[in-house]
Amino acid sequence: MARLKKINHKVTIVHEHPFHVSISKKNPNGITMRDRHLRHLSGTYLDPTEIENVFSNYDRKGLLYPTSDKLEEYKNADIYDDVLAVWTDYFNRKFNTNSPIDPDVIKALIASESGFRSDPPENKIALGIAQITRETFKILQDSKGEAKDFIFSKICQKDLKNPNIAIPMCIRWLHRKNATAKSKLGRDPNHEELILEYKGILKSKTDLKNKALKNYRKHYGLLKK
Amino acid sequence: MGCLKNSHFLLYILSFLVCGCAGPSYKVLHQGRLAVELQVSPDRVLLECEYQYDNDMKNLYGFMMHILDDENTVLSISQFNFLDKESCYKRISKIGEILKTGKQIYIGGMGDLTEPRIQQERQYVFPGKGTFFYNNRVLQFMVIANEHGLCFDAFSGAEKPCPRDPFPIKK
Repeated sequence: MARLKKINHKVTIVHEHPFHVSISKKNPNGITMRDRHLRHLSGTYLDPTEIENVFSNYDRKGLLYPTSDKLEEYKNADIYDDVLAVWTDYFNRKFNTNSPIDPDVIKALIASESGFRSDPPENKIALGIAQITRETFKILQDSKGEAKDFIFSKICQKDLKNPNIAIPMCIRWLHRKNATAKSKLGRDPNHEELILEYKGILKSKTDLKNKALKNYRKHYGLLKK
Repeated sequence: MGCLKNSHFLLYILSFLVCGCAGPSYKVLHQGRLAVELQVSPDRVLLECEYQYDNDMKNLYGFMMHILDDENTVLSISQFNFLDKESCYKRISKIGEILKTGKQIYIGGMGDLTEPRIQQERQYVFPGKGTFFYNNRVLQFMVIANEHGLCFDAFSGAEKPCPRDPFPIKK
């Protein structure tokens, strides 16, 4: 289920077909015609049901987990370890990158974004445990956007308050950021550069950039001790 | 549990009142593996919203507090998820109120204040005190409160409970 098949085509055309709807004045037979449309093939997108299915059925044998008991001063620091492990592995396999993402990188990132709070309400522009911006949220569900090779579907903004949904979206976005950082640097980014790119400050010269990096190093260093 | 946490913080506030207002103007109350608690006088705190002018996204601001320590160097307490302009300046206004009405300020953050101070080029001006160098010490902002119970959490604002886990640190 969870191990991915190679698929050459990501989208297929569904031709005009009859479609069952509620009986109404407009459709007294309970049947209408649906126009020709595109459909994403299985394995190229995730919706809430598929997220749940993949997570429940994932083969956890040999899975790399983030380090626990090191950031315990944050309440809830370790309770998402299983979610982090599954989705890190899923997307590392999916994108088959030269340098797979380490789950501790994502754990240290989440510490800085939300302090492991699933619904920090004090930010108008970003949501949930990974502080995914409204703009990124749109891109991640746009079948014609920059993340079109693997998108999410049928996810509402309020779903980002659920770490089981926000974490896979965050990790998928990190893989996209890996590609954008690579294009900016002309080489594969290291994990620190990847975090800066996620925060949008890879090329920044602001005061906060070095402080964010120092803070990330502290957290990541503790996880690796 | 919530009541216990609240009573713990009330006890903390009470200790301000019993000890009077002439406490030290900068004191590290606790340094854990990551969690840090500070007590400072409000004149040692500067607030800043830094526009992330070269960020990939528009209208992003980073919130920072600069603290003048006991060796007259400056440490930074910053928030590492970015805010929009309105939210950032609203934060300055709310925290400004905590500083204005308090004499002893409680700050919780995550980081390491045992790291050596390394003087940086960046300087900060503290009105009435002078200009001081940044010492390269960084904490992640978690919470700020005063002895009257006014409180602001980095992620939840003034929403109760404030402070919230793990602050204040149980000893």
